[in-house]
Amino acid sequence: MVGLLFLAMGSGGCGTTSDEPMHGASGSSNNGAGSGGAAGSLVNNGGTSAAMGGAAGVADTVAGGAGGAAAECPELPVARRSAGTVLELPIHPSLQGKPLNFAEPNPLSNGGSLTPLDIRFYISQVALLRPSAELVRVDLVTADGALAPYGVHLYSADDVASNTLRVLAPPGDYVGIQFVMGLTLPCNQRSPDASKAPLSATSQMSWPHTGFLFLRYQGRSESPGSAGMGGAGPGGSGGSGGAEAAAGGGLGGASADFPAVIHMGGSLVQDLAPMVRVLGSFSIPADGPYSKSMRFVLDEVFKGALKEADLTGFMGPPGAEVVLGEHLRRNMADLHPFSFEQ
Amino acid sequence: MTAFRASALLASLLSLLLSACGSDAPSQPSAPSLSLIDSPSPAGFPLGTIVERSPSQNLLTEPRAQLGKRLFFDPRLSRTGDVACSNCHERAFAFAEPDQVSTGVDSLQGTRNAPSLLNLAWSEKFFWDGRALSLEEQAGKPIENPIEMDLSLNEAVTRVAADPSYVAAFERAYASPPSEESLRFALASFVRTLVSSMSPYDRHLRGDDSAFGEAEQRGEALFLSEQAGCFHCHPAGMLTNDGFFHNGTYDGGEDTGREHLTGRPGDIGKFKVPGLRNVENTAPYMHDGSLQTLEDVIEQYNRGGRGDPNTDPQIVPLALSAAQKADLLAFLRALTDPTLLVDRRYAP
Repeated sequence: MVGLLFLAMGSGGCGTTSDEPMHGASGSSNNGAGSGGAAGSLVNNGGTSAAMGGAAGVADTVAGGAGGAAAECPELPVARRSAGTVLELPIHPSLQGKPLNFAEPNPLSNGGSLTPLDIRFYISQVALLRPSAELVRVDLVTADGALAPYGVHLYSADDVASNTLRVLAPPGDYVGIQFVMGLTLPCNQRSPDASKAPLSATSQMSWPHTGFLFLRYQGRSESPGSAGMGGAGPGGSGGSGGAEAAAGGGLGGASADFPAVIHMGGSLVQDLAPMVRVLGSFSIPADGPYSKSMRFVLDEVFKGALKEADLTGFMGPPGAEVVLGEHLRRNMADLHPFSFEQ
Repeated sequence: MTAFRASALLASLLSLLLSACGSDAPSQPSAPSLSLIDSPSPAGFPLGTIVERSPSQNLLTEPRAQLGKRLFFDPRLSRTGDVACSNCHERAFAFAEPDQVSTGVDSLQGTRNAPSLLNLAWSEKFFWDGRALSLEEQAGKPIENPIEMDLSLNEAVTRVAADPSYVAAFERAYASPPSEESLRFALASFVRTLVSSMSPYDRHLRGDDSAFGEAEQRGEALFLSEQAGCFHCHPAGMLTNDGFFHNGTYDGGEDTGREHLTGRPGDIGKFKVPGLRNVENTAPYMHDGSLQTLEDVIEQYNRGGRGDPNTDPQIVPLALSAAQKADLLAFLRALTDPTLLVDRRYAP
């Protein structure tokens, strides 16, 4: 298992005022500003991924810190480089240490099962980490080598073609990758009807409230020996309940440990998409493509959604799944949702 | 005429009449162009006109669309010579099926209610189970389906090639004699031109609320709220996210929807989310035509589906009041483009 680093730079937006508490990280120095920002040193704690709050504009050096989100979100981004090697990052969902098969019942350690029905999330602002701590920003590209529209990738477990993230990278040695799990503010502000995929309504991520969803999860869990839907927790769809109550609040197919629906979104006025780091050494050759698989660890997603977070300042719409999503987003700094596979 | 068909036709006629009456009636649009490819996009839809969204291998042109229209209404494309595409996708019902399930050659009945063909230029997956990934791929399948039109494409081509006027039309459209590919492409071109874009909702999104009153606005707000949660599958604007969900309709039986395609248990009961433009005209509803009215649809969602264990976890009882149901109904009725059913461009 490759190294894990957690650098929590605050779950607020870059360059904006945030009501959210700053999160510290053991083994790292955090000199992010109170308003959020991606500053801090690179420390390898031997873990998997690091989640950093705030979708700050990715600086070319780690110490560069928050510079504000991209000024715009054009359909055709400006290429950062004209040549490079394609780095392919197949993403495989996992749960309880085993591959998670989409739309199929997956046995759980408690004897029950979990059937994921929808797993999708955005990735943007990808950068590679050099041993020197330099961040190398890279372009997302499609399977045919074109720049990804809007510089955004939508992973959908139901769409095999989207299961691999691709970037165009300079050859060389690296110790990790960093990306925003979601959309930067300009992209989140785009209207689906003025956009093409993956920012159109067919993304299944458009939301009438605060831009787009950053992550959408739906699944059905069954307890050992149960027939039909998993137990529902407290009824109702209010948004003020705690995370655990929300896990079953009015949503069929949920159980205490496995929420049925999680919708993580952001804001139309703040850059709130969490930033994630995945540490592990790899060397990109001059000739590609070069492939390095990543796991998407659903255990961490559920853990984050179910863990109570301070929701001060949260003005989201009511709905159990929205509350769970906000818990997840605010807890992301303590989570390791991605890891490299060996 | 079946009871479904009669009541659906009456509803369509009533909506037409009502839309033309009263101070809240929408102003009549200016006389539209007769060009099939000259259609404004619906409000809130993804970028691109129907021409811009046509694939490079079948760019949308007027000759192609007109040829496709002729084929669409031509019963010669069925083995028995009496079933055209238009038999199951009736213009009077917004190119949907007014009977519970569709009837093909030899009066063979299918298992599904043929969906409306409106605004498919902006979709990416076709059929209730998404087994076709383009209109070009979709177009030939009903022709070859044994319980629909039951005619091989090869034979369909033979029949049209025997008609000199068709040969000339294919030459104009594709600069070649009729072929299986160009036959499918032409049909796809016509379907691509079927656009509903002038409903009170469309006009509301464009800033004109003259036909979008308080009830409609309350209904829209409820539709986009977490209480009703309709937007999870029917987002604002396009009113479909083109996804596949078990919305609580499937409750056992052989037609498992998307699972037929994928073989995955989690896909049992998942069917494509349809668009909702002119939904007032497309009764009955759901993949199996099991719900006769929009009121029935609202009531099923209000109950939280039919109780199948594979129902999407977002489908839960909504606790809607009578007033809220009425507002939702008003909103759904405001999705009717009154010009569509009388648009001469779509007449055979």
